[in-house]
Amino acid sequence: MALAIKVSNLVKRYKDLVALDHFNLEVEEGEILGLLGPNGSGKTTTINCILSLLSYDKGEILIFDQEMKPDSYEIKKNIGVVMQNVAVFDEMNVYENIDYFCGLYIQDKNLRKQYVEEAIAFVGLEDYKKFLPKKLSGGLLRRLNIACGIAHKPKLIFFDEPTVAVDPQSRNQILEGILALNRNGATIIYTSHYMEEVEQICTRIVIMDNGKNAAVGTKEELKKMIKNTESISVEILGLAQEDIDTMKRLPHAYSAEYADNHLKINFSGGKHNLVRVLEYLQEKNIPFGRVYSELPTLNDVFLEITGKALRD
Amino acid sequence: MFFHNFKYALKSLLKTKETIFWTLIFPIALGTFMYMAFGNLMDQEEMFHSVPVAVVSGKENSELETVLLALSEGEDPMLKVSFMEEPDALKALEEEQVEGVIYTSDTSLLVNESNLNASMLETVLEQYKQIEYVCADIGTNNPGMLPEVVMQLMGDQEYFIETTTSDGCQNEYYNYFYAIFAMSCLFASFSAISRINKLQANVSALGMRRCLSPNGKIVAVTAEYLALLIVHFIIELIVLAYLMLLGVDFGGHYPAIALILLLGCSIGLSIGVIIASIYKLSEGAKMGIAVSIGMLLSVMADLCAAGIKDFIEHHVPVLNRINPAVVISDSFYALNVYDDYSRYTGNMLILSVMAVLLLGISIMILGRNKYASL
Amino acid sequence: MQVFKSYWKILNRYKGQMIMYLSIFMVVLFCFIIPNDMGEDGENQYTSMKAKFAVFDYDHSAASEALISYLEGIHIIVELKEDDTETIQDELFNRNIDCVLRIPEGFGEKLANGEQTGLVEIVAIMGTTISMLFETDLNTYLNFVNAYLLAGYDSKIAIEHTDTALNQQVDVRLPEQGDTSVMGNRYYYFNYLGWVLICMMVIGIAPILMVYNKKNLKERVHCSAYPFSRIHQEILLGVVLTGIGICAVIIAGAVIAFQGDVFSASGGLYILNMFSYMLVALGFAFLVSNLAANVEIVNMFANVISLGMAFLCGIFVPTEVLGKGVIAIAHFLPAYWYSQACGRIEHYTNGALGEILTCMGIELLFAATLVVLGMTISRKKRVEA
Repeated sequence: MALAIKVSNLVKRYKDLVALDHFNLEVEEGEILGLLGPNGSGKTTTINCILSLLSYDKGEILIFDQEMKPDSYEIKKNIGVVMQNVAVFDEMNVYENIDYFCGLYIQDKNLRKQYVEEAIAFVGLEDYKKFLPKKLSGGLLRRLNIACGIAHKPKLIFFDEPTVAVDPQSRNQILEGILALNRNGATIIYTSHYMEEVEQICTRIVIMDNGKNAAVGTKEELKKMIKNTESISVEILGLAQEDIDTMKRLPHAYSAEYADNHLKINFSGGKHNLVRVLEYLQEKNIPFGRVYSELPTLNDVFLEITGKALRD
Repeated sequence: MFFHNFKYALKSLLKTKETIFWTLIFPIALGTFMYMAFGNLMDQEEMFHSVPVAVVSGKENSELETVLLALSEGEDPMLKVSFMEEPDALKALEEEQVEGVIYTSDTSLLVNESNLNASMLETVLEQYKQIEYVCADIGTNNPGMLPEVVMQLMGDQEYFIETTTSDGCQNEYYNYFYAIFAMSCLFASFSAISRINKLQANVSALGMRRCLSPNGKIVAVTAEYLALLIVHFIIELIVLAYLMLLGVDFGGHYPAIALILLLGCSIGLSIGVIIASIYKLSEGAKMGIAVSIGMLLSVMADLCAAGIKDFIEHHVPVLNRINPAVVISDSFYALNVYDDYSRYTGNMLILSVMAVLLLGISIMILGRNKYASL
Repeated sequence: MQVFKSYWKILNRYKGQMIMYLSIFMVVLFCFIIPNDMGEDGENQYTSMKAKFAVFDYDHSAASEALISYLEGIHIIVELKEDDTETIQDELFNRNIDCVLRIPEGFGEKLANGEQTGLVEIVAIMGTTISMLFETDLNTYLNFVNAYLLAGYDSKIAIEHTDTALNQQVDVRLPEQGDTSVMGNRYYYFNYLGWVLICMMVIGIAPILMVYNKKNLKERVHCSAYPFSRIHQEILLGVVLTGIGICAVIIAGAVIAFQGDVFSASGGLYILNMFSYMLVALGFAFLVSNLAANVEIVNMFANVISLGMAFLCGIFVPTEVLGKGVIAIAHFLPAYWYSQACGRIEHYTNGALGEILTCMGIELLFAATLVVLGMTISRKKRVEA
């Protein structure tokens, strides 16, 4: 599989702080790579280095097999960026903004017109063409931001936390849109600390922590990396310590916690863990309320691998 | 690509109505106030007009009265004489209807203040007394020649030839108007700061996106700069037209004036670009610096008080050579007052060098595509 | 006191500009205006106006030297390094000299021969009164010399007699209260404040008020447990303290410059007048904060208002020389009353106290009007939003 991006041994220091510590990354063409990590882990720094906006101390960055530099204009032609902060002109309307940015890449007037219309349709802003940014709601503004970044149909697109402060409806539409772009052949780098989104759309995930690769792989591969395969939560009033200890010793169980009238047991492996828990409770005549069986989330993965929560 | 950026830079600029409005309104408003304040000042204060004077006659000195009357006859007389009783004369003096009161009984003068008109009246009376003395002196020692002497003394020979160094406008208050242009050129730096902030990745998200375009940043910078230059230049021309309409006489030479304004705007914009590249500051702080620099340089070019530019010229002239506000102001002056273009040309050279130098520095700073931190 | 504390934090960002204006004011005043004899202590005696003239004597005869000596005695001689058009033009334009006297070679001879035209050359700005005064004196001198020559005296004696004749002087009196047009240094200091105070206060304070006006922030603060009135009180306290602080700096400057004069009755009135005007400035700041859309515009407002009033109300240009129409307009501007008060304070007599207090009262009225105007606009905006 051809590599869209290859980052080797990237080091970036801010005085004494090491923001990126020999960071490596490989992004295959046609995939959606999720870059996960808490604030300060180096996600945005990585992207800015890859885009040659930020200088770095050591390392090599190749995009489509060519070295990426500030004046690598051929490569830049194929890159699109949707930044965390909305990057549009306040004094120009939706159409003009998209037209401007598309025009930086597409010289041909007719082709550009077509692309701009397609971009507007893609993000669903047909009814807002003449609106100024200040008249758009948060969600619509984000959509404009996206349109400006992808109008020129780039092969490689970076999305840096594009759904911050966006209503759920718009958020879903954005995620759908990203999938559509990917289906059309774009390679996508998607950063976020909303793991649900990452789980939803990304083919592979990189978990970053302290400027390093903490873990890399598909969702399933990542989840296999950790001990936890299943968590079962039961609503129980007044559970005795003895029972907690017993359930801890159930097959494949490795921890049991009880707090706020909720019992949570973590299992590593095993197929019928839920049945066993319920059987035990029925045997002991312990009344219980709701029961949840959850597969480990990326948060759990992250927690185990780094020792802290994703949203710290 | 250049044209695409240029088109949008122009569009974008013209849409920020507020900034354009104020960059235009400020010099127009200031010019209007100045014109209202001293449109007529030179004429009123410095040019000679017949001096209105009240004369309180004493019975004894009809000769003085004859002389005074004679002086108020004809075209453009020296005096405008009104004979009055003392109380009326004092009232007229207090109400400033006359500049002074002459008492013919003792050839004395009463005035409100020590000013030019008072000195004029004093001179008239002194001359009268002095001629009296000379007549008496010669009459005593050489009475035969007296009639000829009297003829001589009463004649109006002019022993001097009066020339002037310039036919242009010598109104020193014009320094203020020249300074308005200097200031509004320098204030073009505001627009430059706000536009350039949108091009820098370490200042705005918009700048970041534009830094990723597949063209050199120089293209975008040049396009923005050109758009800014055109818009500001046109604004200056509008201000010029307005002031001329009001009645300020810049002396013709319009293409030459246009060149001053073009270079002036260029310098103002370049200063703005350089300030904008100091990335550690907020936009507000950058504007503050731009205002400070603009105001300081303009005040040194006589924007608020006349005489500063001259003072510096006599003590540290090199400061005036490197202060673009002064060079701009001096260019206007030179065009108005001198017949040849040598001084003007010298100033244009200085402005051109400044413009090119500042522009060069600003492009170099902006050309940086990679930042150590964002 | 959270709002009060945050007020100072924001002010800190704008203090640079405020200091800049204050510095320009101090530098201009102390380096250029005051040393240039623009403020002499009130004269009670009449003095003749003297032309500043430069002379180039190419004759070097007894006659030319006598002429120069005479003119030097009644006018002011200024040295010019070079006799070239450009130097002369510049010095004339900047009013460093009023005219140039060029005595060509052969002057002495021509005078002795009784020639009456073209003996000397005068370079001046044509038609000005001051050049006329000089020319009249010059003419009189040469005319008298000629008269004596005509009467049969020789050159030397003619010149001597002329000198004596010209010693005749006229008694010129001023009214009892002296020359009311001459102003002291304190007047210039406080009068120019009329420009600087407005500029400083609007630029420094309007942006801070705008920060609190910003919709999101306002709503956020209003949602907090902070009572509405308390927020406004604390902001007001901050604003007033800023005003007082700046007044203190200005008073300190005045004390350094004028020492004891500041602690007299008139000094006290100057300070009182300044406080009244400070309130006007704060009123402007409040009004502008409700009008301007962003900080760039605040700057423009500040400069237009302060400079405009400075030109029209007798601060940069004395009211005596302003046209009647301008003065009529000026009555509607607070700076005019401030400047009028300054003028009356400078020539303070006990009777004038009433007038001075009236001026201050009008200034306070303006301040109140500005605040009301600002509040009306603010309310209107709130309703529309």
